[in-house]
Amino acid sequence: MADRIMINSLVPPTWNRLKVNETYVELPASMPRGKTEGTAPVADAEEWKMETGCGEELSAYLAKSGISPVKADARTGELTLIKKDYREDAAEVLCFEAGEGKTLNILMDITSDEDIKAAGILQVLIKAEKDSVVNLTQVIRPGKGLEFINDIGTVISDKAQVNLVQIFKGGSNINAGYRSGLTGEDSYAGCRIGLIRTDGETLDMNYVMKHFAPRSKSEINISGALSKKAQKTFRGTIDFVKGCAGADGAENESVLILDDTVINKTVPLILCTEENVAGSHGASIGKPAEDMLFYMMSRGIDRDKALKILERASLEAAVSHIADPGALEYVMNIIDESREDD
Amino acid sequence: MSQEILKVEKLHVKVQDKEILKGLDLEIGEGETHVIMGPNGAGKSTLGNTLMGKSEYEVTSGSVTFFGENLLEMATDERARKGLFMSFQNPIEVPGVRLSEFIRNSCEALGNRMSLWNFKKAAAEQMKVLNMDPGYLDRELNVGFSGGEKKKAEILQLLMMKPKLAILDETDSGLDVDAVRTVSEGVKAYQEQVGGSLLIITHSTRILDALNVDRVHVIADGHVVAEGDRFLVDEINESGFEKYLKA
Amino acid sequence: MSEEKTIVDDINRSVYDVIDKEDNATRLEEGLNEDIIRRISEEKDDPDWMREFRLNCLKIYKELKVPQWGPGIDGLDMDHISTYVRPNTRMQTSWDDVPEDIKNTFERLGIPQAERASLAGVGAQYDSELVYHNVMKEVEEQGVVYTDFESALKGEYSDMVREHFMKLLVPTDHKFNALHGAVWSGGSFVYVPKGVKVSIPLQSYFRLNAKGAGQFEHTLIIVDEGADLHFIEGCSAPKYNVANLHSGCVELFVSKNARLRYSTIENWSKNMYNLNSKRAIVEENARMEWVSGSFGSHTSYLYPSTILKGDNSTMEYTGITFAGEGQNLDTGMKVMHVGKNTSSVVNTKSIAKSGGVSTTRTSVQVMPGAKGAKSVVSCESLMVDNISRSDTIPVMDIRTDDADIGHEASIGSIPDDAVFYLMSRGMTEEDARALIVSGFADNVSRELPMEYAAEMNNLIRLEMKGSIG
Repeated sequence: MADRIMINSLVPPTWNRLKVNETYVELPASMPRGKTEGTAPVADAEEWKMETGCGEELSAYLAKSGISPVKADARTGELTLIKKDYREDAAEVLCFEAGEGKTLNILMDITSDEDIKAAGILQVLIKAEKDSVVNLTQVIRPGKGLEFINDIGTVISDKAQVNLVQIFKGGSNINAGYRSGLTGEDSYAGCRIGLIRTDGETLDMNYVMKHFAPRSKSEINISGALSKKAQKTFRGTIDFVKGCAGADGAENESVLILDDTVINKTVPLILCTEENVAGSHGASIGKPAEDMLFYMMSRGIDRDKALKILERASLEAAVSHIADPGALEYVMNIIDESREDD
Repeated sequence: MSQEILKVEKLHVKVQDKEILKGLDLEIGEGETHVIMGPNGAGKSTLGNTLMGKSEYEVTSGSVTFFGENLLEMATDERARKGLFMSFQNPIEVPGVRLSEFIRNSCEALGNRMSLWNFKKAAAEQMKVLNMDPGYLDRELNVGFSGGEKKKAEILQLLMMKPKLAILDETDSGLDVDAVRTVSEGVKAYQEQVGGSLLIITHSTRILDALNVDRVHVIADGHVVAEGDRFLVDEINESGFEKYLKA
Repeated sequence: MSEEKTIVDDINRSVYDVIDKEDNATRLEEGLNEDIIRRISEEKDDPDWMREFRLNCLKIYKELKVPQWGPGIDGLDMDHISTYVRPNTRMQTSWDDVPEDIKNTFERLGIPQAERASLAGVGAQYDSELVYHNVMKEVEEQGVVYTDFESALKGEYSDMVREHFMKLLVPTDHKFNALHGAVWSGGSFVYVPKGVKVSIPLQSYFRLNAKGAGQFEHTLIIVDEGADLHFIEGCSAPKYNVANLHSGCVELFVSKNARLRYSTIENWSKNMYNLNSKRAIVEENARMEWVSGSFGSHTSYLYPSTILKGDNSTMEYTGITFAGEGQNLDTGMKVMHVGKNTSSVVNTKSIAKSGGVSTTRTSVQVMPGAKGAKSVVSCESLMVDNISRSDTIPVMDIRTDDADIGHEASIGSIPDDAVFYLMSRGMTEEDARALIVSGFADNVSRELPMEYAAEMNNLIRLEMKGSIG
């Protein structure tokens, strides 16, 4: 028996025929709990009830499967590296709490063996207390057989920051949710996302920045490259709730489309019930500029290679925002490995 | 004349239905330095872009051989691999691609594969000549570079790629005196280290002061109207292009 | 700046709100059933195919669901809408023959004056039927056909009408297309022959006077190869405390090398449900231009859509929506790039004020094979206070590598320093804010003929009146 779960709903919805209003995933009737070293059950699961990007049905499914939240042991001043190498179905809810004035650096590396067929759900919940900083970097690069859902929820207090860097590469079908509740004055949430989708891979995203508090600020920057029947849907919502005067939200997307077989959908919502705010969205979608290719070819680099270089460049645009030097080096090494593969 | 490597014969080129080059002839021998001068709109940059194979430049008649092979049949990257190089008048910004990655890939494409360590060492050495901070290697290609920095980065590529014929398209334009001197040093280093040929497209002459020049060609209205040795440069400096335009 | 002040003071809504006494020849009872459809068909002396078409549409209407994604339309109960009201006059070609009170209404709205000053032809619809229609001789002599829809259905062009009627806006598309197909009445048919360039605009004006009634005019415009036309549509109604419904359909066929500009200033009263459909299909090398101002209605669903079918076809959309108190205006546009080297340029502005809700909904689709497609979309919203709501919901669906797609959206408020600057030059705060909002709408007013731009600016100032504390 499989459960059919609705995730990544667009609120409010738009024309049905565009098929961007929501996504359905098939999941086994229940999922075994994944394990991460150095975690312990949270004292009170109720305290970690939080909206996420994938939405209520996924959280309800996790609760039904008995996947209760666990708190990860992340300490200020050191890099917390969490490697998740999926070998079988596993679901997990990982909680991180940055106390007042603290800084957490977290790096997650999501992989799976090429020949493993499995489903993985990873939900990450973050509470950033006053004046804290959470730097979360996720490298999501599973093998072909892993159906993966990556879901994030955050609550950000006064003057706190959550900086997310995500790299999506490989896998087959990846669903990604993200929601930040900017509840604190002068709070900040940033998402820098680099993605490569090729060879029939899909990526379905729902990212929501909910501005409750005055002068809260959010940014979403996506750079990516699509080729060979890849599909990407990006829903990005900046929601200015009444009372968030002085808030500022920006979304930017730049997607290279490398051939005629891809589907690239972009749905950048700006919702607003407050007068004194600044919201903006910008997108540029299309093939690489000819003069750029000519420049590279004039240096002897053939067209295919030039496109590969540009593809990787779209990841590096996100990587360059990793704050922690250790995390930066780790991710650069992963990208360099792929460079040597060419 | 030493062995001829580039031969342009009766070249006609159109850009967006407008004929720019109207029967241009040019021969460059191995190790020679040629200068192309001429007023704005004469077709100087068109010549460079046509030789490098930019798609908007349509060759309607004439021929170009490079080491005896038909250059016009080759794709741009193939031309580069045969040893042709052009320093761009307006180098393109490529976000996300580091200068080091770009040059390393270029060198590799030309058959010079280096370990990262050797590459960095070689690059640092050449950057000294150009008075460039090695930190530039980690910056995104031309993104946020000043005009002078962009041109230095072009010359760095010239020194690293060691082509057989380098076209410098207005490499000195828009630069201050110091920057021109530095770029000129770099070009001189290319002459000395590589001994390759040069085709320097310019409408000023400052960049030429420190270089050996074998031949000067004056282009006006799409063809060569005067040729001579480097004294022609001095003559143009004194009296300008007027006398060639009337002709 | 006292001059500005006078202008602001001078405007009032009353010209739109005058209610004529209902002196109808026919008013069908409220509701929707087969019997009512048959009677509309009889009243209009439909050809057989049209009667069958209507009945079939009623079936489709009953099967389809109300859209779930837009503003609520619970306040609209079809059982309380009269779908057909014939005024007590036949269509006239001279204003002198139009009944006095109806004529006065159109005089107040400035239609006969505009006709004399700047139009090549005018159709004026009052409730379900046209009461006036006239075309300049010179234009008629060029072979341009501009008639009421009923005449078109029976006259020389009946085959052409039948061939195109509800072929772009098919009844199965959504519930209100089906409703329209069942009860449509009035509207215009325009045919511009090959190579004919109509140098001054044609206009249709729609006035809904009857309380609790619906207006369902159908506009069909065919611009033949190499021809050129500017068509203007205006609409208004007095305010009632019950729901009125407008569900018109506009179908536009722009042939090879032709150009069509379609301008609308919509100013329905604030009890109106405006569920309107407009679609254009654009052939090779042809151009479609939309200019759209939405000011009135209680609830609007309005998204003119364009299919860029032919190679090198182009589209430009310029629109403004102003949602004030009690209004929920869901407006925008759709474009589908199909041919090669097509281009679309979209510029929308939206203003929300006094609790109004404005939603800008757009969709840009680039189909596989639509090589060389270019699209630039810019959506700007202005929040005038913090009790209103302004949402932007764009979708881009790109399926070709050879496309150049740009999208920009922004939301902001009236900058305090700009208000301060104007006030330092002696303007009142209210005038300063009104002037800034008019400036925000400048992209649309620049696209309109002068009289219409002036009307639009008046509407904006009217809406901005009393916006301070």
